[in-house]
Amino acid sequence: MPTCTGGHESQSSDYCDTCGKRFAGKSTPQQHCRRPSAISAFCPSCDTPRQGRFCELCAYDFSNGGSVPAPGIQTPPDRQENRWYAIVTGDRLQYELATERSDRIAFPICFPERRIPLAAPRTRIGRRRASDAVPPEIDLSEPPADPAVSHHHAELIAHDDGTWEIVDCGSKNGTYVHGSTDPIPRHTAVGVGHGTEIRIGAWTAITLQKTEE
Amino acid sequence: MTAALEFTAVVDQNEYLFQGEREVEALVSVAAKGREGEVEPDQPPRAAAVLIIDRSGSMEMPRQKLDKAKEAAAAAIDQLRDGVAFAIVAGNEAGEVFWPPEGRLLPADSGTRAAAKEALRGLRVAGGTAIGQWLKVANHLFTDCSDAICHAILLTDGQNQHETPEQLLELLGQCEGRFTCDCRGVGDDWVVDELRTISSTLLGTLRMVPEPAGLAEDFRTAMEAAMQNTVPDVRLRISTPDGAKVRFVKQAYPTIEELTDRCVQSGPRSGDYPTGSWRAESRDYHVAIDVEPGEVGDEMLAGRVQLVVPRADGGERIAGQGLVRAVWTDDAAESTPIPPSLALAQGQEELAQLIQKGVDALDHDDDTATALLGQARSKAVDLGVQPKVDQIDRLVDFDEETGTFELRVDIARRDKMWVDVESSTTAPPPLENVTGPEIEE
Repeated sequence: MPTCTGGHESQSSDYCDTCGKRFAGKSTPQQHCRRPSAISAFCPSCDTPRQGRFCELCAYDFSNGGSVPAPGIQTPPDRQENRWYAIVTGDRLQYELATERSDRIAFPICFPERRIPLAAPRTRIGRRRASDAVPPEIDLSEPPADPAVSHHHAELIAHDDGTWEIVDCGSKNGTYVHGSTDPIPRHTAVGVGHGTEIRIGAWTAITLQKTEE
Repeated sequence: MTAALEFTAVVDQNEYLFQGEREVEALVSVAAKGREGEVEPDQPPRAAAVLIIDRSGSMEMPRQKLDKAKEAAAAAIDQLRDGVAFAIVAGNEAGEVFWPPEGRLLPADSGTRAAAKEALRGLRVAGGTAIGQWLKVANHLFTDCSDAICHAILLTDGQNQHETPEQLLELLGQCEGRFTCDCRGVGDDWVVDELRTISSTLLGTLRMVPEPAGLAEDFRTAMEAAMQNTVPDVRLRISTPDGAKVRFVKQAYPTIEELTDRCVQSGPRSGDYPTGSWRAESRDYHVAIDVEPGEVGDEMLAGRVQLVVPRADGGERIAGQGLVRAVWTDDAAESTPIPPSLALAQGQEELAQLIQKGVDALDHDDDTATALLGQARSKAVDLGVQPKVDQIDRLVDFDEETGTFELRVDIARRDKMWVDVESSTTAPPPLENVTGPEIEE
């Protein structure tokens, strides 16, 4: 057991147990690094300024140290047996709730139901911007365009085990799931599954559907 | 039972103190990850789980609430791993083991799960509420389980009316350290502080479930998380040199919890702070230690922070360590900066206080409430924690142009309660350069 300059015997050999003095010649054993989620202002992969959980350019996922989906079609094992679709319709209830304080937006007269296959690990939901190189997979700028849906409203994430999550990417008017009248917290993954109805904007309802092939 | 998690503690602090200064503060981030290759995969830890369901008369007003509560209990039962010992407690002004009829825990398998779910269909409600009695029954069920991970989920829709606060505290004290309890309040007739005292003392989570329809998913997630807990009774041990004293220990993330007064002496210069059961997760602790100032240039260890984990043979294992240091300087440029993560933890603690006081003031003094909640909102904006801004916006109207706040006109009780419950939840360090909500045209 080392003895420190103050004359104390110590069990620990880095700092004296009794008076806390550092033992000479002992280099500091422990790192003082920032927590792993330390603020990085730029994407480590492509240097684009960070604007949310996912890099706008290369899809680097900041929340888990960047598990970037491989380019090309990558079908998670579950989706070899089951196919997932997003059914997009106009929902009267959502309209009622969303337009409580504003009479400016009229409910569309005609709303063709759209059935969008979900083939990628991540599916973006939003209204296409003219400057978008690739429009969101679920694009609410297609007529009748829902003006209260944000450009980068939310993302659906598929996991290898067949489970799904939705993340609100900082939308103006919120994302509602599971029949709740409270929006889900922003930038937080919420579990969804077959039959879950996701409501956004002035009237948009997106229902997840799993079919066996 | 082998400990299956590996802990790392990372200390974030500015170790430089200006000469003569004695206050050391640090943020200790503890991360637990699964250990490879040291646990036999077919020997998961022994675990026991009790569902505590409110059976007071109000649970069937409306009828849907009771139906959804039963669904939720069934959803939780479906998450039980085979072999986990379980039971259901039903409570009103008394508590009783509702299932199994034998009145003790039974191991989960397809037969017992089905039997429990079938029995739930026949659960009838009537009577009042004395939550301490329910906890007492659960505590008794856990009697022979001291080496297992013991966990309960408690559901109530109302407040204690057949028990005094003192009685509840007394019964809570008997349960402390014996099992963890996640509390769920459905609707808006229960009292946040009451359930918070329980979840805090019993090292569990507190959630509000505004609509009964949300109960099943909540219970499923809660039990799923509990099944991932593999190490019970983890303690944070802080050893300090002579002349130094721990001023406080608080959990800063994911929720704010005061741990200072729960210290148990573990050596001549060390104290242990309980942290309950862990799965692969991360939690932050805000630690403050007062030390005798050294001379300029002196370096001292203010506190050795260790994670202490029980071993199967009854001993303990040090599973991770972080060092909180102090170095004295006469250069103020060295001693002034505060690491952002620590500043955020301090800020969020202040924010939580402001929110809770503001919510309390809503009952009797609108002016005070407006002032406090307005301050809270400004603070949340400064800290960059958007979820908190959103929560406060349920209660105040903020005018961007004039920069003024006003209480919303008809604040629903459930919004008040939601903000109160969420006030102790904290955000991890904010993302820089996040774009705010989309501006539509």
